Amino acid sequence: MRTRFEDRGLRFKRVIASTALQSLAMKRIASFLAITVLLLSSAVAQNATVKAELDSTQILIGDQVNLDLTVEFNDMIPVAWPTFKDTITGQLEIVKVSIPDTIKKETGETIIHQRLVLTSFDTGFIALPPIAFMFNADSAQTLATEPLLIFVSDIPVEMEADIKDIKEPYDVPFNWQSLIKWGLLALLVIALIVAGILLWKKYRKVPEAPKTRLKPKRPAHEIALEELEELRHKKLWQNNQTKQFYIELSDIVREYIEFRFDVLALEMTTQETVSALKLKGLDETKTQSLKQMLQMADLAKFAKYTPISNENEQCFDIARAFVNATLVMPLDEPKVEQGKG
Amino acid sequence: MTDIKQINEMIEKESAFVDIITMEMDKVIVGQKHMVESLLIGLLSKGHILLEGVPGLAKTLAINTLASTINAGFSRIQFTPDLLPADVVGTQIYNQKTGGFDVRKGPIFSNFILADEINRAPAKVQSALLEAMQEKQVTIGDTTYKLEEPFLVMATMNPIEQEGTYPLPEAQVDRFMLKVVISYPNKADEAQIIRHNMAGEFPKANSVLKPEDIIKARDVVRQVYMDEKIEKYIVDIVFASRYPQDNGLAKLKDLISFGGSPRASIALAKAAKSYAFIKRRGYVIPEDVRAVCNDVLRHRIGLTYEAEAENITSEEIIADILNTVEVP
Repeated sequence: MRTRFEDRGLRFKRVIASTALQSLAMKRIASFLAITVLLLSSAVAQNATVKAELDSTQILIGDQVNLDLTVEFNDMIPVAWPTFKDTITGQLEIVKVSIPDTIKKETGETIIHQRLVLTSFDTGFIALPPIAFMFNADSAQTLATEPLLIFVSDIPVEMEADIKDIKEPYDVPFNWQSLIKWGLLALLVIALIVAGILLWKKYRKVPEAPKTRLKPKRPAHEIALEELEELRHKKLWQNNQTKQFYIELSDIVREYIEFRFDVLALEMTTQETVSALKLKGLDETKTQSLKQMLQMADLAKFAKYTPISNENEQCFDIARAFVNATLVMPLDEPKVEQGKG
Repeated sequence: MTDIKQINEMIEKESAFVDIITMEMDKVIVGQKHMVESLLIGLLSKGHILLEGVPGLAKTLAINTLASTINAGFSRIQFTPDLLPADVVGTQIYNQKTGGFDVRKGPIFSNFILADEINRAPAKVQSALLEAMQEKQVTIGDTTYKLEEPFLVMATMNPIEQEGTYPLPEAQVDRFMLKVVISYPNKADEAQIIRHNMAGEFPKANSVLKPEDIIKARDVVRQVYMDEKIEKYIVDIVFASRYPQDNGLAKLKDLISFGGSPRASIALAKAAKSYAFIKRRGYVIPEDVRAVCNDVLRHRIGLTYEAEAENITSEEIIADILNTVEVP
């Protein structure tokens, strides 16, 4: 009777023997495949070569390295160029893939070249596997590049050194073309703005200047008396232009009041003008006759009333008398006291 | 008719009732001469009136009194938030006996309508009233009914207590010819009001006029002569409210959002004629225009936010305009 330990040992020996047999079988298959590939390669190799070259086998983490793939062949036509995606292996990333470049030699050979820019963010040795190219679709012959090895090193950390700041951003290389392009664009914008301003100035609606009545330099009574004389010479009411006579007469008087008494008589009605003059201290007799004259003017202006000749003359006399009675001679004006030292 | 002498004579004859109405109203209303005058202007110009004032200023009483001096129909509608358009214009009611619909006319079918606190009713009721004011007719069901002349709406509005009110839109306010703002009475008037109340004396106005008298007076008002210089003056004032910068009033440009409409010019001319009539004149003078300018324009000039922020009122803007526009 076998013990439990003896059983276990026997089972272990059987497993070892079985594993050894499997390993032997695998080795034989691998040798067979290698011989087959070698035979095929040697057949193809007579007419074509494939090559993979790295411009550096040692890079810093994140640095980029160029992988040049070159195929040179005689009369064979490459049917399948390997396609690349984001990575070659999990650790090697493809940054950029150039378009395959074909060169025909005088000797009849054809060279196809393609450059891949690779980078890695893992450290240590990274194996670049063979890249297979298939020739002749009918016979499906394959050639593969040699496997390559890249060493990606980490940045050495100086533990005792001070902490350094990150690097400054790279300067954009100076570009004359860009400068000229932007300069022209800026000039165009400035020209458009200037043209716009000029057009706006030319076609804008100029607002009317506000109506301002400047106080004349001459005394108000002088102007009023002159204008009254002119009105008399016009002989308006004698020529059946009574309404115009009263329009002008009332305008002369109201303008005189405005400049003489600083009352906005031109913007006031008859009643308002008389009230304003009373507030300025003008006595009742003067305002009463003035009111009478202005009311007569209102009748002629707004009520189609045609006063008789006597009334016209009387109104004219009232206007002249009012100016003469209220005029201020320059000598009457208070003298401004000169500064005493 | 262009003969001023004839017009003056006619006015002298036809305007006698003005004194009688004023006297009757003075029996009831103490002071508030301007309000009474404005009511007469509205009555003579076929223009509806909006009265604005704080409570207790006799707005409703004044309108009531004016209506009672004229022997004509009078309706009072108290505007409330639950009022319906049918409550104002009328509706159709099913008649069981005839099996058809009978029309029941609303309170708007009267000569004088007092729309009390018009801003308390919702927009649809306001527009029903304002449409009737404008068209002078009401449609109930398939039938349109003309409103009887004289037809005058006098609405009151309270400027305070704005909660739960429906402010009248500008387009609808524009349909009121005059917006009269009532202010507090002076000390003497207020003392007299107290005396009346303490003595328990509440005199009533007598009916002294017939509606035909008003219609006749309106015809005379239409004949009041308005010179083209006065017309130009009115146009100048209204244009100054629209384009102040072109009339030497650049400072008002940012304060006015919109100026008076052509309806404002028409209302100003009509009201000035009525004022001249009240003053027993057959022609309009600039005083007449200035006297009615505030009531005609205050609700027709839109104020900007800047003006409201600076507490500038439309009355101040009108005063600036009147002080700048040259009187003919």
